[in-house]
Amino acid sequence: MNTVRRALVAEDNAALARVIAFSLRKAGFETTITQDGAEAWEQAQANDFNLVVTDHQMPHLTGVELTERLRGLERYALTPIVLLTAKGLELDSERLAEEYRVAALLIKPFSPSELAKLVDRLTAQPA
Amino acid sequence: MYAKSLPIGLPRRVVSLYLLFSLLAVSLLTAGSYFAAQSLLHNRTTGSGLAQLGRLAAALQLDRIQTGGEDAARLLQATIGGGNYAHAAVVDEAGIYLVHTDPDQVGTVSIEPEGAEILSWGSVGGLRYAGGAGQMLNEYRVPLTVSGLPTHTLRLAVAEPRLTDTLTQYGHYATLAILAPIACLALGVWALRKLTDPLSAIDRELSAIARLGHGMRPEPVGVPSAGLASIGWNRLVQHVHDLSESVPEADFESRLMAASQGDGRTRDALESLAEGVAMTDPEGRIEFANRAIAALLQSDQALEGEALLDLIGRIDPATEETFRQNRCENAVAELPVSVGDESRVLRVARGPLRSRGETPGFVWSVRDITQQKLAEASRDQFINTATHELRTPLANIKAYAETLVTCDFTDVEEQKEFCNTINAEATRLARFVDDLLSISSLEVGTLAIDRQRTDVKRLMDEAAQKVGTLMRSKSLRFEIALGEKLGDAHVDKDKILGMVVNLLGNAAKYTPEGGHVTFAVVRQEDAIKIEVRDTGVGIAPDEQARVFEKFFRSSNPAIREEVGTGLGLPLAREIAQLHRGELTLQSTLGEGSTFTVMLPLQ
Repeated sequence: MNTVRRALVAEDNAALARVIAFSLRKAGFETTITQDGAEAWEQAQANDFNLVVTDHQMPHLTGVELTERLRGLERYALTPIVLLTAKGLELDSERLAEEYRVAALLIKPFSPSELAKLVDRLTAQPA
Repeated sequence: MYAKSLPIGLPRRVVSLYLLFSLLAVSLLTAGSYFAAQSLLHNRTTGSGLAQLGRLAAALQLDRIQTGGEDAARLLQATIGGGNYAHAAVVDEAGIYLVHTDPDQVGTVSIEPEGAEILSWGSVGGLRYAGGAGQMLNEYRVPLTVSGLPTHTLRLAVAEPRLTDTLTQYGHYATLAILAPIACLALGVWALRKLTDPLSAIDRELSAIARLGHGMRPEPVGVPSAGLASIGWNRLVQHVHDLSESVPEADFESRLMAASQGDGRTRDALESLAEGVAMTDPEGRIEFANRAIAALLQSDQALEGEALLDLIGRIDPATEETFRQNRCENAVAELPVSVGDESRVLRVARGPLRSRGETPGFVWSVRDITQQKLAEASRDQFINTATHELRTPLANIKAYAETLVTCDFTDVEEQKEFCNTINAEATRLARFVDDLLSISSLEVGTLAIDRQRTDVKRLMDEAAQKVGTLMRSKSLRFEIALGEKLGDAHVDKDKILGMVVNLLGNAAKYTPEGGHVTFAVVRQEDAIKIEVRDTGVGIAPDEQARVFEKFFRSSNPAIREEVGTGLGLPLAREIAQLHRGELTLQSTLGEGSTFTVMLPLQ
């Protein structure tokens, strides 16, 4: 596993996207940031990410829709996906885990270090 | 029927008891009188007998002294001549009759009668015994003294008068003696009956009411007036009658029925209700519907006979189920309907009409709750917007601060950038709170404006000043072009100020750094024209009409990036309209927007 690990951060809140990317970089990822669901889908098709962190409430394509599309692609069948959502707009994490194998559902506001630890655990598993 | 089941009611018992005690009293009185009379007769006999005995003894003594006892027989004879005296005699020591009123007995030895009762009154004694002819004889005996020695005895027998004889003697009083008590008893019974008859009647009525089946209406009748109880009862009866006259037979539901069949006042009342009211048969076909129903359904033909739910429109299966079940209870549903080309929400409630017995119909009420639903939706939307606007900067601040605390920063510039972000997010949060405050101050009392003579130039200067800081912080070129002689206008100063500041604030918010904002105010012939022009992000054509809708927020990320309540433009337009003016918009996406307010001078 010496190859470069790449992460896609899809979050329409630019500032939050930047700090997530920062944390992931600290964890050894190369990051790509997008603020739009449709754009995230394009990026995912064009590249090969080892991790996807996506907000649910995004313009054009929601996080769950993006997840559904990603799972439709063979190379994203097992990629860890972390979904972000706001408090009060909670998604059914059990159903998501079962249906789309979403690795984790984080409720905003969350702590980036928590995300970093979670990512560590998720990406360490296959190895 | 009643008398059979209750042979002796309370009042009858009273009469019976009265009779019983009266009879007892009469019996005791009779017995008492009998013994008293007998004792009285006996005493009278004894008293007169003893007195006569005394006089006779004295006469005999005198006779003996004067004549040597010649006149004894005559004296005795004379004595028993008056009264009930049976006989008189003088007996010597040997018990031989020396003198006797019955000449045959003279010289015979006296025989003491058997079973005699011995009487004694000091020196005077006597016997009481049954003489011939069943009569009681009282024989009094007194010793006659000769030379100081009692040698002879004087006997005087008195026939005790028989009670029957006395009664016979007083027979002419008997009629009175028997009839008077009987008459008194009868009078008592009559008086008691008079008193107890009303009670008896009340008793009967109460028993009859007590025996009524559930839900049956008691119909008490009055009783003959006598005494307080009957007066009270009659009042009660009168009251019940008055009540049943003032409240017609029926309860609300049947009055509703009556109304539907033409009882004027109630029908008028139902017709004038703003809420739709209808009555249907069990199948839901309308028997009566008020005007409000027709208006709600925008129907101008007669509704009678139509099925109410069908008239309302397409009903989802769940609602249909609700109305199919619960036939005995109230069923309520909120139904989205399209009336004409409007879509509305109706609240339909149905309750059973119980007064109809076996086949109940229904009473329906229909209310238009569209406005209420819209208000609820607005409120929810506002809360959503507000929480999103509050939460986003908070989430960012938390994420940045936490990262700053937990990560080792090698790059000081990076650290500084993090702090700047926190600062920016805090500013954004503060701005949103300011927005909220200004919006709430605008929204309070939006229904009314308070026009005052206002110096327009001074008002516009104040507005420009309020946004000066914001313009400078974004390095915007802020051009203020206030026309000459703006003069005075009759406007609501605070609301116009709020509106202009809001428009200028929007221009500043949505214009990228280094952009250009123009604020121009000119006085036209009959209006004041306020124009706010920016070189900002612009508004897409399909969103231009919607920006005036409450809580609308553009999907443009450049706009979403900024805080907003979704209320500023709708309120600005409302203020312009309250001044009989208008707020219009021209915009090109990516080039900029121009908001124009026309305020008529009068």
